[in-house]
Amino acid sequence: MKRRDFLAAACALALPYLRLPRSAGRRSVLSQLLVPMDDSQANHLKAYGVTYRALKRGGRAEWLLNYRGGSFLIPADAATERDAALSGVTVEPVDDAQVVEIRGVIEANNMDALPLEKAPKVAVYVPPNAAPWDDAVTMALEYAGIEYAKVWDPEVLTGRLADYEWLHLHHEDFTGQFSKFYLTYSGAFWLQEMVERNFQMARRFGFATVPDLKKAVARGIRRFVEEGGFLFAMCTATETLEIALAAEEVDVAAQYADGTPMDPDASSKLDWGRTFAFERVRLELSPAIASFSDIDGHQVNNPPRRQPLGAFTLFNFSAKIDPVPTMLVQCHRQVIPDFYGLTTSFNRDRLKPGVTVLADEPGAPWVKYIHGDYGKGTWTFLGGHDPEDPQHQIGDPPTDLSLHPNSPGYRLILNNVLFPAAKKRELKT
Amino acid sequence: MRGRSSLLALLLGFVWAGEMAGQTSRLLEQAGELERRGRLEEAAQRYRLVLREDPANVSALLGLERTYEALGRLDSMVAPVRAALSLDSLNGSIRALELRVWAALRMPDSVALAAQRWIRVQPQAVEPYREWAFALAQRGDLAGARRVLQEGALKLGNAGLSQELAQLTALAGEWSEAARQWLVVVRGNPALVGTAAANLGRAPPVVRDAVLGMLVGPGADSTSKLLAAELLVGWGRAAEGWALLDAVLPSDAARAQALLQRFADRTRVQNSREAMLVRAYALERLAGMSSGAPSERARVGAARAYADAGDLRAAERLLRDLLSAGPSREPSVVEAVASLVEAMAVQGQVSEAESRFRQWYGVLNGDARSSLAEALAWGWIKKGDLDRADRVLAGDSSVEATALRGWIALYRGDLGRAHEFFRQAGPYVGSREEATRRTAALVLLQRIQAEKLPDLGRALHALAMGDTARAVEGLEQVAGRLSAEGGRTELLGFAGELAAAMNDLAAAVRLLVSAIEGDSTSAAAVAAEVALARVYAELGDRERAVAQLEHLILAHPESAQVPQARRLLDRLRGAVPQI
Repeated sequence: MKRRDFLAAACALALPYLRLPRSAGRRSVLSQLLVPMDDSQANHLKAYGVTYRALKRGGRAEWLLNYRGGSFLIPADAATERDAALSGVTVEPVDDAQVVEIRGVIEANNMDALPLEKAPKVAVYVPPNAAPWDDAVTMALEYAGIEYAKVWDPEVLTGRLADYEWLHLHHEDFTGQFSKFYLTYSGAFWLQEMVERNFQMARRFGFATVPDLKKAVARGIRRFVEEGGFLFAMCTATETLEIALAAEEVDVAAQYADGTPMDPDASSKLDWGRTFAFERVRLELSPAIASFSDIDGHQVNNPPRRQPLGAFTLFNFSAKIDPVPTMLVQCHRQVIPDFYGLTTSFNRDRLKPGVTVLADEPGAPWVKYIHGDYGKGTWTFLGGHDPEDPQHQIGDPPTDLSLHPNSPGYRLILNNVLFPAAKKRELKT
Repeated sequence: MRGRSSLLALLLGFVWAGEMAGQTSRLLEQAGELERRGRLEEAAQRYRLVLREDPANVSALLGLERTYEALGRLDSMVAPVRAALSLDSLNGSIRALELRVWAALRMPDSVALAAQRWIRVQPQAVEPYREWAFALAQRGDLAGARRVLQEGALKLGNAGLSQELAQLTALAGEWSEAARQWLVVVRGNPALVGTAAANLGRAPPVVRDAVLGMLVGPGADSTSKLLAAELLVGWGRAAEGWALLDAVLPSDAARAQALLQRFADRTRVQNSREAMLVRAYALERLAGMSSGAPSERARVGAARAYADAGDLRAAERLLRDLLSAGPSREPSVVEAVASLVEAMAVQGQVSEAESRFRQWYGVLNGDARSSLAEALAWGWIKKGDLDRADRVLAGDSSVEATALRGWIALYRGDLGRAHEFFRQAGPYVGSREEATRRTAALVLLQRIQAEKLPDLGRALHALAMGDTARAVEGLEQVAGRLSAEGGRTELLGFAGELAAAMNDLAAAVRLLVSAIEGDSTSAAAVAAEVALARVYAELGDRERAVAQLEHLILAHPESAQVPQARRLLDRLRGAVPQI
């Protein structure tokens, strides 16, 4: 058999297996793929991954803010079509005329088309041996298939954050008190390991105590933002990062963490001019209560002050005037059930005046999702631990995101991942 | 005239008092609602209005404390608290509030002075010490809190404060010392053994043996062993707990019965064989210590627990004693007999099970007879005796029995009759698992379309008897004689999955590849692709597994197997946790 005949036969045999997407026959006029992000999308979370990988392959994409739930327009190449099919992501092939029509709708409404130019370099601050399954962001990144690097104290302290555009923090305790689990979980293997690892790190970098080490790390993170980095933090990292920054010369750690009791007047000595988001905060003085301050409105581990979960509402912004907050709230749901974390929410009266509130619980004294600028960079804080595990407890099985492919809460996390991809465009806020 | 005026004044007084009470209650309600909405200033204003008329109103004082704390103005509480105390100096709630306010304002000297003032007016009360310690503990001063409790215990005797002391010690993570202190508490009040066990039960695994050592070491008495027994059962070490309890059961029958019942109840939630056995021991002992209906209930419970634990002889012994008095139709007895017969059948003692079934037939109700007959029939099927299975079902016209006759016909290779029985039984009979299995068999029968195929019956019967290897061999042989459209793909796919289940992965790959090679489009072939990917993953060949799944998703995008394939693909790529 000649080579040409062999290929023809092979193609004929393979044809039934290689059923092409609906668009294949019309490819000549179909230049792009619309990734709808409204209720017609089968897998919202993986849609971010498909877009990210299209950018990674060098393609350009557009984020159609407020258009069908914040859809994406990506190149209709074979690799992207295959990726979408394998990921179960709904895509709609669109020809040039349809694209023009979409642009007309965007022009006439509170919508905007934002170019996405490059896949951002993502780093997640996490201890080296931590599994990805106890951190909502790493779970979202793993599920969506978005590459990220793990960084921890050594990378922050040696200035390696400059290699990345996006940094995520989850439930790290930057006050150096091991999430204040020390007394409740004394003897638990995971806690002993966490304590030992942090003590080793403090010794390695010449800090007398873990709280001192973590304060230095917090300053490194602030520098990253100041110099143009994008910071996204969740859960207790939000609150403790702020306390650590405000407490540069104040002892805010319990005796078990640094050998000396917390300064009883610590709250009045904190300098909130050094922080991103909060001010006038009062600290929780008891080492036995796993709560840090009155930043958190829900106080999940403080029984007399614990508040029940409600639902939070995403704000509407003007897409053409405020594209950044608009990007951060793109979602197919406006109201999302709340979820606990060591820090669940942020009391409104503790916010600095310039902070942009992205979501709150109407009628409640707290907000859920906030954003602001600092230096050349930006920060975004989302309260709570895991959007699909509202009552998350230590030891709970990890969330399997393949069971929540349309999670609106996880979408908020992924909005933050793609947000730096739009960095190059001159943003209005 | 004067009498009338007095009466009028009294009535007006009542009306005024009633109105004031109503107004207070309205103001408190409004304040609570405003507080809930976060309108704290307005809430505080309502609380202050209440206090203007009634300075010692505890609800208003506590509300004002909450709102001022949230507003960062707790220093404003000092004046209302002083005013309240001047009117009601013995009110424990207001005294405790005073302590909390000073503690929150970080004025430890004022806390101490306030506590001492309280102690002076109520020298024999434990509350001042308790609240003082609580205020200190709330502010993180655990050591100070313990010192206060120790001082109180010294002055008033241990009884009133020892429980708080023990709890505080546990909170500080000093578990052995906490156990010692709890022991003092329980010795004073045996009813607190459950509270002590609940508190000490939170001790982390690494310190549990030290806690037990404190309780059962030298000098241990019955109280400490009872507490240890409670802890052990809570920590999933029921047998050790039982050994301790058994040795120190008190002679007082009522107390012993209460302890046994509590112990049995606590083991009920544990699924281990050890816990079931221990539960049976405790209930049997309880049955022996009581009489009448309670004794019978405990004996039935013990029999069930023995049957669940697999000790059929013990279960039978108890039931025989129970039924020797005459047939009982008590639901609990019927359940216990059914449990025993079913356990015997499941464990392969089918003859004995059938004999007990006949013996106790009169005790059983219709439902129990029917379900036990099925259990016995399955027992005979698994033993390989299809005729006896048939005989057990004789005269049973239920749909469940019809479904079972379908299986018997299938194992005899009579595919036509099996098809007819399954069809008559319908898709919903039995458990969900059984219904799914039957539907899968029906689909297979429809594909094969032969009336009789004894080799297939023998292969499937071998599977029912637990001989998977012979089943795989038989299925492969039968598949070789069928066409792709006539059931070959289904049989090869099924054989491949069975081979994978018994960890013969090489055979599984061979069978599943054969299934796919002969038929690339049927639903069975697509299912075989997923199974093959799983086997590749089991073999550690992630690359081939991924390629197989990607092929399936791209080639059969509409298949019902695609969601499963995507999920497996996510697992292989590490996109979701490996549970």
